Amino acid sequence: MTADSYEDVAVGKNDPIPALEVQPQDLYHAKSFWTRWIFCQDAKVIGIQYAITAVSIGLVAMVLSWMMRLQLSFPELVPFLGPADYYQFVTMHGMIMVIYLLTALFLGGFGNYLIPLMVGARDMVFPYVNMVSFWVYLLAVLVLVSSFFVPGGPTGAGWTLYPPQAITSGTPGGDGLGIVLMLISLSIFVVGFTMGGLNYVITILQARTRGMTLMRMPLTVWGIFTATVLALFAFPALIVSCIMMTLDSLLGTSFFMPAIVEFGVQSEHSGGSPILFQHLFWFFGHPEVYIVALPAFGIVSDLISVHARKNIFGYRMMVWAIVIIGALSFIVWAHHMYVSGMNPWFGFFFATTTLIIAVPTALKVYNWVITLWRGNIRLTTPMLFALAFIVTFVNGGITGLFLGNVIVDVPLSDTYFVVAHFHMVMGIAPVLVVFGAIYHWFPLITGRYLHEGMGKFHFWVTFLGSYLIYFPMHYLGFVGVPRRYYEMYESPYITASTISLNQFITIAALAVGFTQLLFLYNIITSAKLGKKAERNPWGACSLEWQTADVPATHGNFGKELPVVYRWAYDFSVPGAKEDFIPQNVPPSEVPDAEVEKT
Amino acid sequence: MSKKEGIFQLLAQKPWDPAQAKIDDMHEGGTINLSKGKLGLQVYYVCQYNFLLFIYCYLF
Repeated sequence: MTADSYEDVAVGKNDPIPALEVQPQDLYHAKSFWTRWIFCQDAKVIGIQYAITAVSIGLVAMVLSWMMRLQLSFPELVPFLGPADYYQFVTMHGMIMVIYLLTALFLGGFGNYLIPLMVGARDMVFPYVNMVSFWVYLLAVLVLVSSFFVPGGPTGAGWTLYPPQAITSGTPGGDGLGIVLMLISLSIFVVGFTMGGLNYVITILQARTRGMTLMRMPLTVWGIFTATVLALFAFPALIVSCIMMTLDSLLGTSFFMPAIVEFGVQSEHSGGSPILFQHLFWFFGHPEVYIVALPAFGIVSDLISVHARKNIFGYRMMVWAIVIIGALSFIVWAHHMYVSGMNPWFGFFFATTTLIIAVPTALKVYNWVITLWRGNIRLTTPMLFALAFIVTFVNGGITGLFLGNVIVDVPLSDTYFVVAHFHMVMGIAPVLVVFGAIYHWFPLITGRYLHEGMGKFHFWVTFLGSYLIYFPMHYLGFVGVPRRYYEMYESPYITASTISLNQFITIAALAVGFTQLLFLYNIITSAKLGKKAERNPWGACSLEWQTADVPATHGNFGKELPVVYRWAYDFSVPGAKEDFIPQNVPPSEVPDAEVEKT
Repeated sequence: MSKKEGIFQLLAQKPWDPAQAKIDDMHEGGTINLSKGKLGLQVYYVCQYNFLLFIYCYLF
């Protein structure tokens, strides 16, 4: 990139844009299959690598959930599944879905693919470190998967890995390599994420193109940026607790292990604090919810704006809300610990902060709805998923208000109500955004559309099916059905009606699960045979659709980087020829466009 | 955007406002007056400091 590349760029006689001095960025262009697809330094390829790995391990977790559901409802179909297997599956399903699928997919997948494109950069600022971050992530996944094949199997401690249970011999995988491999895998994941996270933050802060101020960035970038900052601050708590627990397990230290009697034998541990682990874990664990949710908020804001042909309502409020939610997420962690026996005043404080976080969150929901108001709504598949996200997130969020209150949380703790709540708010809602985002950006990645008919079918079965699964689960929780039970047979607490409801949930879960296979089929076939997409098929304003080639090649924007003249939401501007004005269109090209009111 | 601008001033900007647009058009893209490498190292140090803080809190 030379300094005089922008000399001829001007918006009018009185409004010249001076030449920009852009330091040329050394890009290691691929020269062979290996450097193109395996050890590639192009953020877009790395994003796809992240996505494929995350989805692959996510499919494993989905199959584990099928096994669990079958055991609960039709145990005769899975006679090979013992109690230890069940707890191992619960643990692995939870950890894989939260960390190795959702976190990796939103930040590693969408972050890598979209950040450089949306901010107008040629690539991440540290491409080599970025490439290594993926390989470290892959190593973390392989270490985790390897725990299925060691004596004793993977850990069955539950995804929260609470000590002392996690490393005592009565717990599946507790006295073998299972728990150790889980802890090592998590530590490796954090190392890999730190490499990637540094890239995302520095690229957004320092490598934006000319004219791309922070307040002109699409909300997708704001969401990923804030989530990455959260992760960089929260993950140290996870890695610290993992290392300490590994030492407790392997070397007999007592960071988290109190003096306990294990199978009639006094253990060698003494003086450790299991509650300390809970604090460390949830200091990471609650921001983790927003590490997943904030990118979803950003993406859904962009999807709604593009497919409703309206500028996002309250852009500044949306940015503030993202930042405030991120900040507040660090002072709510102990609402996960109301039943740990902590001081009631502590519970009062965390209940208050938990309810406060609902304010900026609700503000975002209002803004999405107002954006839709009088919009030219196109019910495309991405839009359907975005709308479904709003409904689902509100549903999941409202049950969060229940659980945020100590008095309500205590009786509901460890029931299916909790399972339903977090699956709605942290499982289904973000996954709906993932699907919407894939349908939206698939033409950017491949130059082809996903099949719309299959997409709509996929949407309706996933959306309605999810409600068939999780709405009844709330009821099960209210009537007291406990979570994490291996068997459901008739008892004073588990009545015949709840057993049949459980069976209904399982059938719905299998249907929703199999529909995801149709989605994978759609991706595979459409990548080669799908209908060819024109440039910028949805009429979006953001820069990712303004690349020199579609799909974009390494370096993204050809010879010259784009210059940004406007925010990413100039939709339906009165006086403009089209109902969108891309960010890199200078005012001189749309002289009749009026100023938007927002 | 001025590089000395605070976070609250930044978040108060109206990116759709023509007056703001003229200022924004001149923006060079970077946010902080540091090289990418130096800023990356600083962010990394903050993460590590945070990491050490947890151990320090536990030990003392």
